[in-house]
Amino acid sequence: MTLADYLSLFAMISIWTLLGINIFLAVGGAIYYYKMANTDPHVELDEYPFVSVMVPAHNEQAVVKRTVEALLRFDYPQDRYEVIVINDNSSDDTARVLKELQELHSDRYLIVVNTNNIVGGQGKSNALNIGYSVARGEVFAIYDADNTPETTALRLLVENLMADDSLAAVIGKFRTRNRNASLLTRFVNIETLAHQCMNQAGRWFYFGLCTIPGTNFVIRRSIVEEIGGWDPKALSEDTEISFRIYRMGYRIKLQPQAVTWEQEPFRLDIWFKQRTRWSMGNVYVLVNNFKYIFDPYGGKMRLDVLYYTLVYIFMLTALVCSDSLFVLGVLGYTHVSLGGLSTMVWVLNCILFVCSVMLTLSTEKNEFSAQSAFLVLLMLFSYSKLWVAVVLKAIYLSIKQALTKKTITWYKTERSAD
Amino acid sequence: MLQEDDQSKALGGQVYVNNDVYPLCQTSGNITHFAYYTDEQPLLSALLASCLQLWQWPYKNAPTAYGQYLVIDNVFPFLDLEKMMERTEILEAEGVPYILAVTPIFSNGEYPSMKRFCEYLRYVQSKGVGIILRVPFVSIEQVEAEELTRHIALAYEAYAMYGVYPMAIEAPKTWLQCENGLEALRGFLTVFLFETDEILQGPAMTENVAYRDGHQIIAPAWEQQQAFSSSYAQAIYYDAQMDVEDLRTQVQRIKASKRVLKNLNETENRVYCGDYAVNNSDGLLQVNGENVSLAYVPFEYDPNYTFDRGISQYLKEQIETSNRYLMIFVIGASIIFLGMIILFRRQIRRELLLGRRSRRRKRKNEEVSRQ
Repeated sequence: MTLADYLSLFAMISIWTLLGINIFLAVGGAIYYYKMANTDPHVELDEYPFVSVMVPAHNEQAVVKRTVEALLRFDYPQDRYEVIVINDNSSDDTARVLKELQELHSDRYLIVVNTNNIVGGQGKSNALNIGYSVARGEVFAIYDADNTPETTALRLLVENLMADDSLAAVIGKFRTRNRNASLLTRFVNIETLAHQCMNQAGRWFYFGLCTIPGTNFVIRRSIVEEIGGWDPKALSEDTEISFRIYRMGYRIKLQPQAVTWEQEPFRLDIWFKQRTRWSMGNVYVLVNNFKYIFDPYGGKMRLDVLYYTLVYIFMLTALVCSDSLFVLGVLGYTHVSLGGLSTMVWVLNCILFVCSVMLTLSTEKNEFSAQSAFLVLLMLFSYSKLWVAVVLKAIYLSIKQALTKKTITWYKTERSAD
Repeated sequence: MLQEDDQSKALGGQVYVNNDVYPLCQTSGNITHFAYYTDEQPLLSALLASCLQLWQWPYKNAPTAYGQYLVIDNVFPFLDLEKMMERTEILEAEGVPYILAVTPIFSNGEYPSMKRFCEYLRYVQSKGVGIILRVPFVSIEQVEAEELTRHIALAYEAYAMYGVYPMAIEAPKTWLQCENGLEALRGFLTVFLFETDEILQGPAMTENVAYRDGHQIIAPAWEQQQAFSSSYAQAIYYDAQMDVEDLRTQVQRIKASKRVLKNLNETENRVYCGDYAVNNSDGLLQVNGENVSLAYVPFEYDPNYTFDRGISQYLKEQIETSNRYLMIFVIGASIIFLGMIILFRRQIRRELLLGRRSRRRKRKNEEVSRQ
């Protein structure tokens, strides 16, 4: 057996393992969606807690108005929540837009915290810590500045959180607001539904596990206090905080009927930078939590660490090997002599991938169509390959950062007016 | 173009070109020429070779009638040995000398099936049938001469360990124009060539040095049936899986022709391959300097033979088995997905329908309240 044989065998096992896991999660997620769709998601509370809705905003003039107005439209009791927008060292007109909003909604609790480049501009975690310092809510709700949550979202999230003491946080679902803006946003929309939302639903259904997605979630103030706020070193603060919550013995629940619509990157360069930041964050979380895999008291969180390990180590290596072998094979530099690796296996893999994504799309209105099936197939050979490049760059930057000990800079995703 | 005069005369039969009839040769004075020639017609090539031989006769004594060889090609270990015996018996009954060209084996030579195959070869070898080894099939773009030589040695070893000694090698004709090919053939005195489109990549030769290397070249025959040339040694190839009736017909045709079929053992053959130095001369076979008897002795088989298939074969089997499971898994998962998709679509349609109904009801109530 040659090296190419070993690598192709490794690639095949890794890819099928991950596909199997994702299918397992998709089926569980779909069952959970179905159950939730047929139950009343509301839990009436005797008293609704005071909620601080925090929105970190850095150069968000194009979208922040729409976001704040959506936040002020929540069907949550108006006197029981405040909206805190942390205008984090913006150099554009965000401050003016927010000022006008404050004047327009002077009867509402709309607080704007403007920071300069000394205390602010150091990333989302830092901005949330600033917001936390002025927040008076018993519960925090976090939204990104490009979000348009549905009016019921906050109520649903808070009701579910308060109904169960074992919950530290409740997360909602997020959808793509600008899915028709470009081919890229269509891909992102499918990826969001299939690999982020459905994956979360599956993990919750089987293991009671979820990861905070960065937006559209509520968390108890006591928990944030206990963990000492957000870690400013973490680029992917949502994943990092989720791991910390699970280590404390709490759970995070998914409430799929609490929906927010967010703007996704519509240009490849913006998408690439955003995903590189996410991946760097996940690599950071993986490196910092890998030790818990072997910790017998690590709890359920170990499953997530294991999943991250499979994705960021095995899947990545498998895809690099598989693609490299394919290219080298086409160029005539190498060939796989291992018998039994028929093309049919790869075809089956594609069929299964398309089917599992289509299952996810079938749970949403206006998403299930022949065009979507075609896009999923196209995505497999284009968008999915970009993921490899993103993670490789993230790993390279993480290593470089660790060696040079440079401070992490937070890439701010560029927005546009819809 | 020669102009024919009144004294010119036609010789050697007729050639039909489209609907016209021409003499094969035309003689005019001291010059005899072909009336029509194309090298795309093997028959004409054979005739040209024969004519050249005849032309040389007055100067070089009687022309040599070179041997013609009948080669049963593509004989490989997984052939039905009963069918092979049937063909052997036909050829033996007809008294036709022939050669078996065996395919190379690089691994699993110790398997009982290989042993049985070699027992058959030992049997025919004891009857005077020549065995030749086909060169490896080269499926990759570039291959080094050392790699080819190593594989040929492996294949030779696989047969020689059972007392089957290929006396010559069978190779594509194109190997003679390639340094790597010639290097790989160097250990064999007798080389059978066959026509193929396969080209061995590597440094090409600008001249033919095969004869300089001292090889006895047996070229592929131009034709399979009627006409032939005895102006040099040729081999007629029949596939081992050829229909028995076809084989009978071919044998009758060969017998009816003027072919001089030759037994490989009647020529001197020398092989230097891997650890083997084989010399066959005057009916005496020597392997590494020692006389070897080719008498047939039945093999003994281990009834409790355990297969050591090696990691590659083991993995291949495992993958093939898992492929079947994967197929079942994919079909099962697809059915589950389809069922769930139908369920969700119905639910969404119901939700839309209920939404439409409630909107209609709401509108109706509003109208009623207005009235």
